[in-house]
Amino acid sequence: MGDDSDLSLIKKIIRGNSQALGVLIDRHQDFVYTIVFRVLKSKEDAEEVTQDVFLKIYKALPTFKMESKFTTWLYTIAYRSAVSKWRQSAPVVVPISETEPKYHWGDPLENPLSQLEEKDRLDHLRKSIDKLGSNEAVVLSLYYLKELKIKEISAITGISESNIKVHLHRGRKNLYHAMQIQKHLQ
Amino acid sequence: MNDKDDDLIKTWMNEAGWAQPSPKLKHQILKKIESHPIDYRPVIAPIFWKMMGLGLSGILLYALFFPAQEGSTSSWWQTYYPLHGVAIDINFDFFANTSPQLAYALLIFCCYIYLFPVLMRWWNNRLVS
Repeated sequence: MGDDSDLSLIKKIIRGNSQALGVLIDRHQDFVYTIVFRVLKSKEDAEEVTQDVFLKIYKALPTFKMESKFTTWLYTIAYRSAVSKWRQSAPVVVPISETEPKYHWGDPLENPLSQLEEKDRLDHLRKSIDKLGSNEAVVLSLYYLKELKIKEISAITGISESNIKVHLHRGRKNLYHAMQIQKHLQ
Repeated sequence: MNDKDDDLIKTWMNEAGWAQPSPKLKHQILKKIESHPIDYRPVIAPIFWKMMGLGLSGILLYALFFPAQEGSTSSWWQTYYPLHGVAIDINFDFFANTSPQLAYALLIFCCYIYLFPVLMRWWNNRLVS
């Protein structure tokens, strides 16, 4: 069943095949969780919303138009559910702090210390992404990790194409600065 | 920001990768879905298909075996029935003397009986897709 397309899995699920549902969840849960987590910045909330997203998807499968792209539909529901949850809970946005510990940019294969430093650098990188604005983080994830076009990101988020470009620019700039600051602090 | 920086951002995003949920997430999703069972029903109820089948069978049988009375050639089925002029001439007389018309009528009827479930399945699949 691993080679099944999303559409073929959806048809099987509608006919009551629960194994196909498991395959579909396996295939998409990590990126759905990533989108939701980038918005909510909370592991517990992100898992709860991810569960709700798949429940919504499951309930709405018979209404899904097979000629459209499943992932666009899935990510749209994921993003909008996350934004809706975010509006309810109003999370505290932590600004990028300059009091973070110092990191070095070493060759990870050089020695154990370099490996540790590389691990720290990755931790810092992930924290920097987490500290980006919700829209910036989601747009960067869809653009770089899924390599979606601006138009597709606009369809998923409901944000205009020009604003997507703005979020993309700001996201790149903020991440770049966060990483540059870290580099200079070493 | 130049193209080089853009490549750097892409590298960082890929290094950071996707956020990792707990290993229990799939189990939790399936549990949640199980607690909200949904029974997918076909858009057209089976009883409607049966009624439609009976109705169409009746019309077909009538058209094949009960020709119009003389002078009533303007009846609706004579006007609109696609096999007008072919099946309309078939009547009970051919039971007495075996004629190719009987085979023809039965063939059409059997094709219809065979095709109806196929049509039903095709239509349901079409609605699903």
